[in-house]
Amino acid sequence: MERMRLGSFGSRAMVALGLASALALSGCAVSAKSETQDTIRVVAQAGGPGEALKAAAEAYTAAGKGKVEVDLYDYDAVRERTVLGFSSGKDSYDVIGFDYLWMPQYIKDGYLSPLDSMISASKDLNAADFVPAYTKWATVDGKQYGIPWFGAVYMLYYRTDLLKQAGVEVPKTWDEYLAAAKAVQQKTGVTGTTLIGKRDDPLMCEYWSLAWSYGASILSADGKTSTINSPETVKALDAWKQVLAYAPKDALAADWPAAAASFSEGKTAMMINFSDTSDALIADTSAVKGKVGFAALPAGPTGKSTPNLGGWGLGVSAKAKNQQAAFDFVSWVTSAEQQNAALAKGGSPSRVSVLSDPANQQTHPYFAAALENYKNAIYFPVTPAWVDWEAAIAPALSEGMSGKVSTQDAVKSASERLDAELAKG
Amino acid sequence: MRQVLHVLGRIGNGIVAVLLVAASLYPVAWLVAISLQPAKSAYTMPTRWLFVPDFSTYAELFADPDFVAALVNTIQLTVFGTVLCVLLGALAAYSLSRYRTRWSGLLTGSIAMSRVVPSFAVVLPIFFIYRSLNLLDSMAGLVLALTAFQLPLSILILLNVMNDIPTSIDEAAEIDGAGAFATFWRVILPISRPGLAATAVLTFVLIWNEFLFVLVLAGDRLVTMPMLISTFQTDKQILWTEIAASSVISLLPVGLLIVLAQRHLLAGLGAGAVRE
Amino acid sequence: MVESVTGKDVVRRRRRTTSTIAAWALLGPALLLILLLRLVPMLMAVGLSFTDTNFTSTAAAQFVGLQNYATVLGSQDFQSALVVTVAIVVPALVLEMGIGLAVALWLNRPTAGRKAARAVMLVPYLLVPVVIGNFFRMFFSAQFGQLNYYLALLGLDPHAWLTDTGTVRWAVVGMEVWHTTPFVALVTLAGLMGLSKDVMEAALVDGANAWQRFTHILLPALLPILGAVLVLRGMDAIQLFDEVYVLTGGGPGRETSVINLYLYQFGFRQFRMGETSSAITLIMGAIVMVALIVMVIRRLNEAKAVRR
Repeated sequence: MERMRLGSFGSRAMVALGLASALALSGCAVSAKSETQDTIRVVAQAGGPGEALKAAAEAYTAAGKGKVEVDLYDYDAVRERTVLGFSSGKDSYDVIGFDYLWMPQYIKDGYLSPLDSMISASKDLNAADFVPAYTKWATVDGKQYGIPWFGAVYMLYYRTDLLKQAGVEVPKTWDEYLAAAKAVQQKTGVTGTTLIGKRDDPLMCEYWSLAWSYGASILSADGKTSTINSPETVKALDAWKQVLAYAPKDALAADWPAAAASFSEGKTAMMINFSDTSDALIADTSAVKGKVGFAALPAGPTGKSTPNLGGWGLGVSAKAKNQQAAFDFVSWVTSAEQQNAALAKGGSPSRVSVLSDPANQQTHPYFAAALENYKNAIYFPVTPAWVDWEAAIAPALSEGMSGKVSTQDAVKSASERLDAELAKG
Repeated sequence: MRQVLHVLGRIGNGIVAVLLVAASLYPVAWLVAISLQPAKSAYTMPTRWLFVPDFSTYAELFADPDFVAALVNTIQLTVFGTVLCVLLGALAAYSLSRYRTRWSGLLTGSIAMSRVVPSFAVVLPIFFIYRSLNLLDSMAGLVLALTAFQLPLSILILLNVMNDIPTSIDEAAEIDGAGAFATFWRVILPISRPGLAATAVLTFVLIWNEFLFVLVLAGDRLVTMPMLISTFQTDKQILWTEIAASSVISLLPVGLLIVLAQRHLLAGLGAGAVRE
Repeated sequence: MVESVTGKDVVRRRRRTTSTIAAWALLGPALLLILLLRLVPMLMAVGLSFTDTNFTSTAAAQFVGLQNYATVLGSQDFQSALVVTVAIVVPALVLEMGIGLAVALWLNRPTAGRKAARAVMLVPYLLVPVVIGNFFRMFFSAQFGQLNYYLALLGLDPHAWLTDTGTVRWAVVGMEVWHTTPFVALVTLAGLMGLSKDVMEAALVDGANAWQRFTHILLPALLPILGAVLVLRGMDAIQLFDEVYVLTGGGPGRETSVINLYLYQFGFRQFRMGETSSAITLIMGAIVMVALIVMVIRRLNEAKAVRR
């Protein structure tokens, strides 16, 4: 071996390696985005509406109206990116897509600008055309913070052929629903219906769509105490539990895509799900094309149907440098014209005119049912702490459904946990 | 009788091999099959293994600039991180193995302990640190954070490897006049190749698949493959074809590394293989 | 100077004074990185645990003493997370180590299928965890899953693996074992290859048969390696998150809410850093204590052995 000393060949190699690494590291990350100061940056959820938004943004940029870049993330990541973006102190998004459930926290922490002045000054927005529930939902303390982006409301789906085969009418109440599921399962062998029981949000959406119609509620009028612990809530949970017998065996792990897959692959005869899962059902490749009917959600003992309201809104960031430009894009992309164009790409409309348009109702037969459900739609309590509350209530309800505890105990526990959250202030 | 046992033994070995290969590959084979068929195939049982492949999803993915950017970023991040991790880890392992001080035990123990910390614990504090250092949304910052996170594993594996290398080798080098670093660079490192290869592969995989650090520290422009793959799973639908195709693509660089590392792993084995 | 065969038992004192400097110089960069980007954040996390920091809130954090610890210790979710983590990690580790060792031993022999198997064996470990979670979600699906399909071919009834509280944890264990056994096998194999030469030759010379070779020579020699692998895997196993989140979301109920799921829920979806940090400090503290106890026991055993 040659004579070597520390400080000769070895260290030269190290220095070289070090320099090379430093140079390489300083190289920037690759991005498909080329941004300038005027770019309007949008963060939104991936999926059908997200793709439509992205395409619309490209059209907007191509038409010279302004430069728009859209970042799409999965559901949780959109919120995380938004929160982190605001905390990072750096320039972040100008247009923020949000699930309305997150909106109160965004407002409380100052992420969103009130839009009222820009709305009233706008000539093209036609705000009255939006599904009224959305405008109401987006208004907190008299100020509106979001423009409805895509719409989703709970609906009843059913297989026209299987219900006919079983000699069952389209159910209008939950009792009829349970009976129909039972009849279809017994007479056709196909599982009666779906049940979305995965913690936390999926379970809450379906359960409360049922429970509200039983007269159950979550919060007292003054917003200070939980009203979950009531006979109505227990009755609703018992009723929901009975559906399990006519639902897929792993319904308690099912979320919206799982239920949609069950129904669209012909494994269940009915489905309760959001309206924006419908496109796959009417597509040419669908196994159940032409055999699907859409209806209002069954009503409960109160006589009312109370479908849960979903959907997302678009807001303007309080930190956006050009508020008007951001608003103009939002206004453009949610216009009736754009919503019509988005239909082909997977968008889900939030405008009454688009939903009522006869041509659209031909290609998208579920719009009529969706409209009806929008009229009855109810949304969760508006509070910045909703994520916390949901995380407190849902596991308890889930344990009641799985039989780990009795439904009375589950409801009691859920209510106590909510009170504990409320006590935190 | 001997012959029968021998043949049985061979068959037994063959069966084990087949089982291992099948168990390891089944999910990936399924993903490949799904990626080349329409989306419904994911829900169709039994899986169709004979079909006319449809590469359109792959074509769509590569035509999407965001996808390509994510792929490039991930490769960049992982390569830098792995190189840094293996290098620094080897240096540290060498030091801990050969130079026993009062602190060695404590250091090794603490390094081992630090692996206990869940990434959730450190990621938000690092976010704060980076925010004040303006290292957010930078490739360098992300590489450093991920390297720091994987270093303990690297050090521990290489420490075990180096502890098994007899010091007589160091002494021989010392006699030839090599200093500490030279001994490391020209003598110990080459012998440790199997260990280095194994560490490199493991670190590569761990950094490639890292989601949380990228989500929190990388900002709006740095998207990596795991994040991109997760966008195919929305709250309303699961895009199986896209998930499958992007996962398969995601496997290729790692797979390539394994093939390259195999030669080094083999080198170590070749020297002292047991003949039966 | 005391010489010995391996670096492990070396107690040498190098005569050169540059040695200590060299030692620290070599260790330096790694140590620095770990200190800055692991130790400091950990300490920050501990510090945060005494405040009521909420990431999203613009209000300044208030010092709240041990209140977070009280909340966390009393929280059913936290307690359940600990139980669930142990209930999933322990069986998984046992299976991984057992199967991994067997595979490593088998791979160490020059049999025909070995090369193919070795190249391919690592694949499960390479997959992105989110994809693994999705795959197994489909695999265990009561309606669409491969498992139920193939079981049906054998005449068995379909089962709801992911919602039956009796089987869901085993489903997670199964997924984890599939995912990480290659890691165990690979690292054990690397250790085995280092051993093979000296140890195996010694065994062959003595004319021992296969079983004796295994129990008297291989296994004792392997114990340090296995111990190291167990430690490595054990610490990793606690980090379990992505796959489980996708597979079950933590449900049904709280059956599969492992620790990281709990931390994600409270630290990320609710951004309650104060509480989360105290949970983390508690967990780390517990593990450190366990490790210290193990070390002390080992020291005592060693001392006992020496005295004899």
